[in-house]
Amino acid sequence: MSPAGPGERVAAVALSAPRPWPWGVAAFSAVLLLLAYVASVLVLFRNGIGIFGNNIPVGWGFPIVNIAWWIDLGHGALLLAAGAVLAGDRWPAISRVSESIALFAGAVGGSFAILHTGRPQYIYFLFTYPNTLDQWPQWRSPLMWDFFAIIAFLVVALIVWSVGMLPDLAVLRDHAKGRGRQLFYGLLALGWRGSHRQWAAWSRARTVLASIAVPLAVISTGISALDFAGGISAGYHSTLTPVDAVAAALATAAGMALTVAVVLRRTFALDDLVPVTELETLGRVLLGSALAVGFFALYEGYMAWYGADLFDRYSLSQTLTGAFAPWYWTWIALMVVLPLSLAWRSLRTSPWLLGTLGLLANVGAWVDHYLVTVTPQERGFMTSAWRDFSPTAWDWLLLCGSVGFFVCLLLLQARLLPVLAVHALRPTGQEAGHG
Amino acid sequence: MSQIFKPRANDISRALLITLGLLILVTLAAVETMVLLPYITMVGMVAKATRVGITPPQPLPFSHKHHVSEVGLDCRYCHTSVEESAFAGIPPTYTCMTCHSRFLSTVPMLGELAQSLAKDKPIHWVRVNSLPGYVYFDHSIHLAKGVGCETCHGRIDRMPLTHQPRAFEMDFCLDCHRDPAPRLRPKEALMQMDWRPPRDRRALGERLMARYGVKTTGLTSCSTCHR
Amino acid sequence: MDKPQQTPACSSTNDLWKGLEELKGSGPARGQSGGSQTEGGVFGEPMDRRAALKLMGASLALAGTTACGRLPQEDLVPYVRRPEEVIPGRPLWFATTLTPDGYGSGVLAKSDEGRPTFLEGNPDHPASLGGMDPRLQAEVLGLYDPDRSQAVLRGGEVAPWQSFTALVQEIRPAWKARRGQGLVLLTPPVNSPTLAGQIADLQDRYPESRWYSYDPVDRGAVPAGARKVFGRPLDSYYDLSAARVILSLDADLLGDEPGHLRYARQLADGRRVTEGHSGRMTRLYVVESTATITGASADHRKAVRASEIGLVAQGLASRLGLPVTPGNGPVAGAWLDALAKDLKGNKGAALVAAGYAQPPAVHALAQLMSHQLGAFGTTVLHTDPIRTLGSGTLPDLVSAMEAGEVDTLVLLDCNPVYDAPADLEFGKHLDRVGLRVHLGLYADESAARCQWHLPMAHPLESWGDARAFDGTASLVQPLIAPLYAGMTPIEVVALLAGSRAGKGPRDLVQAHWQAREGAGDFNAWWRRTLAAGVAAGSAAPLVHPRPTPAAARDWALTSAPAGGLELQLRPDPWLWDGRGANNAWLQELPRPLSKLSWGNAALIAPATAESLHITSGDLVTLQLGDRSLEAPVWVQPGEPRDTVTLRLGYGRLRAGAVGNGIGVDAYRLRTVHASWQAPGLSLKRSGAGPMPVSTQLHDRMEGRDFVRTATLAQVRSGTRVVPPRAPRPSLYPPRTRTGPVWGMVIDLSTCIGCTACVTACQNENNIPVVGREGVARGRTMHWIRVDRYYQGGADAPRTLFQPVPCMQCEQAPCEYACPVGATVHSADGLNDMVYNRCIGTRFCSQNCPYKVRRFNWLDYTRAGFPAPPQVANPNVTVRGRGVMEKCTYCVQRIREAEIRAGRAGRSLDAGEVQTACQRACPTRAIQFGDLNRGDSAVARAKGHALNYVLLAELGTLPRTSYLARVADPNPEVPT
Repeated sequence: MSPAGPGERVAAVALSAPRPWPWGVAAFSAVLLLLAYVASVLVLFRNGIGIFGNNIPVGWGFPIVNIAWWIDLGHGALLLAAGAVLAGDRWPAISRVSESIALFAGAVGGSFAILHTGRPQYIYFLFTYPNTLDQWPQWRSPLMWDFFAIIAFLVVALIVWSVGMLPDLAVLRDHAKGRGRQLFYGLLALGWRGSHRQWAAWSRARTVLASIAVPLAVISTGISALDFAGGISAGYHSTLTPVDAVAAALATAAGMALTVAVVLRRTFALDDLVPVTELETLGRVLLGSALAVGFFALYEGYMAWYGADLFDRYSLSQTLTGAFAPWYWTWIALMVVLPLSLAWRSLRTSPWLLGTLGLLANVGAWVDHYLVTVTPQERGFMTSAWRDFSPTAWDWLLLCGSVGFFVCLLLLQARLLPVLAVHALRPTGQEAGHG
Repeated sequence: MSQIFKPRANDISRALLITLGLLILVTLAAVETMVLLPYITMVGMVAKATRVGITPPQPLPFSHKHHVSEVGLDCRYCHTSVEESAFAGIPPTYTCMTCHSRFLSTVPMLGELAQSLAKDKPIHWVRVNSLPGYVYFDHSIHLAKGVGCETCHGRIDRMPLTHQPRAFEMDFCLDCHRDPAPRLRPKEALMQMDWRPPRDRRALGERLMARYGVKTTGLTSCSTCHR
Repeated sequence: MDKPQQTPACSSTNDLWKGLEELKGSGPARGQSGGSQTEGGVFGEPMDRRAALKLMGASLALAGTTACGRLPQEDLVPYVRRPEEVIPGRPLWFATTLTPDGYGSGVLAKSDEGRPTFLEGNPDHPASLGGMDPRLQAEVLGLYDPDRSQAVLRGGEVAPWQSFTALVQEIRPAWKARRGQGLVLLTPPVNSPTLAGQIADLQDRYPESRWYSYDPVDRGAVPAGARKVFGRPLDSYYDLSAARVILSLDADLLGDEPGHLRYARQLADGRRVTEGHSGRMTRLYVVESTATITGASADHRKAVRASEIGLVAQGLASRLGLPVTPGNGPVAGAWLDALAKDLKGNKGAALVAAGYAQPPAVHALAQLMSHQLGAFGTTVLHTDPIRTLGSGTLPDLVSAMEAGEVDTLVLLDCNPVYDAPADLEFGKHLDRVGLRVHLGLYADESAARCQWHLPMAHPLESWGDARAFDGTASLVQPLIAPLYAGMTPIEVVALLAGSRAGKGPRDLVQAHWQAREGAGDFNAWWRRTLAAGVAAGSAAPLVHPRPTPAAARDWALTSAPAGGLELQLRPDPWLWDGRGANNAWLQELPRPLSKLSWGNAALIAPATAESLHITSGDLVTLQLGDRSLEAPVWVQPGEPRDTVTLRLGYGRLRAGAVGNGIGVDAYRLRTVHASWQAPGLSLKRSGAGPMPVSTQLHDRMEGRDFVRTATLAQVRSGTRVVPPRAPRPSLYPPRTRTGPVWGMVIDLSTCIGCTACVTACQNENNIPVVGREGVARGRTMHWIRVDRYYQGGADAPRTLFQPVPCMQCEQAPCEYACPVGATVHSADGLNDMVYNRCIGTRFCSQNCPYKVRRFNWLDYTRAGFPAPPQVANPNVTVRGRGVMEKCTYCVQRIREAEIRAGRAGRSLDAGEVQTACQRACPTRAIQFGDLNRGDSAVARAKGHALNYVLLAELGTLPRTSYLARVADPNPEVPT
């Protein structure tokens, strides 16, 4: 028996128990959080969104922050994945991890889009179908655009994810023991044999999808951001927001990809298959996008001051030194300042540091969305309506629950599907099929 | 290593994929049909807003057919407030007794009536023509502007037992609110069941709109019906 | 059409009583409402839709087939015999009289199929002139309060009425025998001629019986003051329309003085700068001991401790040439000089009014000063006391009880166990009385201490009569048969006297008036009076007393007020003496100045709070003599220094599910000799408690120009108060302006911030209450919020009010935000809100710069304190959970008017449509109408130079605009 090839090792992660102990811990806590998610959703449907801390003026609270956060993570991840494909498709971790993150984050975020409405049972009013009401949705609404953007994004993310996995599923099929599993992976692999024709068609498909995904991710991110930029509230009524959002999304995604990749390679001892250089690449992306975010932050501040609009200036002062300052500076620290440390190669090549920074960047991203969604409303136009927002237990529970939901999906993938893009491990990629 | 799949598997899987696609399309089509055809009555909610053709059990087997086409009562004899209120009005027992104290007063079927008057207990009819609570329909203004009873209630004179003749869906209302002309009638024909519109009904409608002062602006404002 | 929130379109029989039993059945039991958030269907929708919704949940696709669930099966229940005046679906209006503050106020009550659902002021009644206040408006909710006492209680057990009547018949001989000795009646001061007659009759039959009366809102100082000056007790009221300069010494003329609605109207008419403006404004000076809306409307206001107002009065009196020891009190001499000059300069058109909370001496001084200014007979009018008082007061009664002279005590419509001064220990003495009977709307604290409790009929269920502040009598007629077999005090007194003789409540009232109006056709008089809501020419004859100024020196204030903290009590503006405690509308309605809701607090001036090192939200123990009370603190700008002000009416134990345990019971610090203020209060911080809930947390405008102000001088000189602003370019096409263009103008010069509009709106539009937690979270549902801003220093700020309904923008930011088109523009320029289309994304509210949209966070038909369905306006949808709502300009009224006109084939008259807030506003500060009609008042107001819109720079083109607030400060008054 020759030492196991990369394909076999990757397959082993999905196919062979026992799994390392951290797996058990992670799985347990993730499932627990998932249950919390389900429970709070039930309570939500029973009692209404009054269980959250929202009020007038702050009509959008945690649920919207969470949507924006997850969806943008997904957008960024899709951008990252597509970029990786177009840049040569030779990173096993970056490809698979970001493709999965795109899909899963999108799914989790999408769920909030329904949960946050007052009457989720009527969400179908958003669908465009000839109906007995003779009514159509309201096309001027950024939310309407966002609705379609999210759907488009989810579909593309799903295709990119599943198509990218085809050859690897074939590998799993080939290493699977037992008829059942062989059938399972066999069906998923859609009869992949690894012929030249299939490889050629496949890589063509990958490229086409990627070149669709890149603009889609950018546009979709922008449209989500229009939910805010399209509004009139000082503090987010800015033409820059959509562009800013893309950079932020990319940073978030790179951060999350880093975290996942680092944990992954350590837990399943795949360090040699995911070289530090690959992590370093992600680190570079994080650094670059963080720089962009920093620039936009400066620029928006400048515009608010230069625009000399009473309300913009007020919200700027609140942001820099006033009520919003704690949130603002946390965000700057986590998403702009800390990532700058990656400018040093020595730091850039330390997996754990990368992983940690990645995670913090995501926390920063959440704070960023809070800063956009909640704080401007707390200090709106009418001073008489000023009122602070305070989240309830349900707000927190649903947030943590959604994280559990997301992690569960990742774990499920690790349990059943190839955790790395095996095809990217083979420069020729001709070995799959009858090994 | 043995073959997992027979060669035929490819064809099978292709076939499966195609059927799956078709299935989705078919379901969508089916649903959409149900949306647009109000007459499909299924259990529960698709029977829904439209209780078309359903004749619920009533305390008395009251026949509009008899009272309208055979006795020849005017609608307003019983539905007194139809021209002055949103609510057309259901006749008080007293109204029924104006005739039935003399005719058929002994028929057991009408015992209920006498009881009601004697015991001062009202008769609980079951509503047939029904709109959701958030729709504010006003009979009086529709009559004032030349919409006849038949337009919504159908040939009530041919209903032994009363039923809702058509689905009162929003599109039904909107058709008329967007383009009233071809639905309007002259005052004298409002209550008439077998009214024959002239050949050029639109022309008549235009004239009536002018006479009744029907302005289409605002007819489709939401607050016209929803408040 | 009948609606879910409505009862069957015809009430079930022509017998209201039965009909209402049914209505009652359809209402939610109070029990349900408690933790009701955890009740309800999959989505907390009403029962009948639950099944449908489950199916929807099961199949979204199928759900897609309809916007509404399967309709519930509804019964159509016709009359057996239809009363001829009833047209099903059309409301009827009746004139009647309500007495929430002990004086009659005329209202027009709307009756939908036999249910009173809405109240409006009766324009023909002198006390209201068509205006409303929240206490009046909320009576209609009180009528349906499920906590009202519903049956006779004997020792707490439900008993039939007969058992009590039997008891009375049994005792009567004994009373007769002992000429009524030991039989004692306790009532509020009686403003009902019939009841007064009844009691007189009772005392004729039982000469030895006693009648005591008291009013927790103690106005005793008014007649007492008059007695000092005129030698006899007199009531006085004012004609502000004849006044040019008014000085109020702690008199809340616009808030809680009898006739405040009339005063508000007269003052407003004297200060209106639009509509045929005379070029001058009635100038108002206010020296007050707590922040009131009267002070807020003043041109010059001084916050002075209650105990020092006398000194100010004295200082002024001496300046007006009265023989009193001169001085200034805490106010600058120059200020008083200028004031005196202004007053003297307007002899015959000036007046000095003193508040009931001031001691008789101050009232005496005020009378003398008014006389000095030639006000008698022109601006200050005198009558004999309007309300009939008993032969003794509460302390007299207590001593009688102590002496064991009371065998039978009948409490009529009063609650002394709760609201008697604490040092009387009324409850303790009450227990020593042999037979204790209580008649009241609620089985309250007093009922609990009596063997017998009798349910009282609500004013809207009663026959009766009442006198207004000027003595004008008007009839009280029932809109509905008693829901709970209640009796009126008139009936009970007749029962005691044995003079009832099978007479119904109406017969008793008629009997009284027949005796008075006997001459001529009584029936005609009766019908006329019922219809008009006022008994013509029944105003009390004016008396023209001659004061004895010489006397002034004898009782001039000599004692300098004690230093240290001072306690001050006032009736709560809404709960009054506590009678409103179980009314959810009143509990939730923010207090005009503090904006506090669901509870009272110790109001303390900022400076004083600072010196005491306490702040809002702290708990403090107030110690007065041997009595103490723990209360939360609320720092209230505009309060005088070293004063702690508490509002009465809170801390009820047996008010009902709504009012129990809300706030702290200030009566526990009240003593017989210090009804309104007491020196020597000590205050200790005892920790931090829950923050009192307020609907407005930020008091300043932060340099934004929400409320624009100007002086009359500027207006006269034609100074441009509102800089012209070119319309902002918009990407959207301009709205067509054909047909009616509805718009509103709110005159900030005449708005007094009384918030009558808020309650009227709540009543008209079925607006739910959200409870204390809801308000604390910032989820108040009121469609109008009356913003209150402060200008200047925190201790003597200028208070500005601004009612903010939906602006009905022509380029509404909310409209393009909604993804499903649930808020869209109507052809006549309204910003329609379509509840049944709304899915609750709340983007519209996010995008509303005015934050006037309200969201149903929970199912408020169950959560909190849902209003009984019977009070709901059948023409307005009751909103379900998860739906946005907001001011609609009372679109239901607009559409009804259009339909009315359409039926008649005519076009709308100018001013035919009036919104609920406009109709309720006592000062007519709100104008509404068609901007396309030059003849409409609102169109003219829009053209006024003072007209401006909120946040014009956003280019939203609001249809609601404001007239800048104009004041006429005296240039000679030092600032």
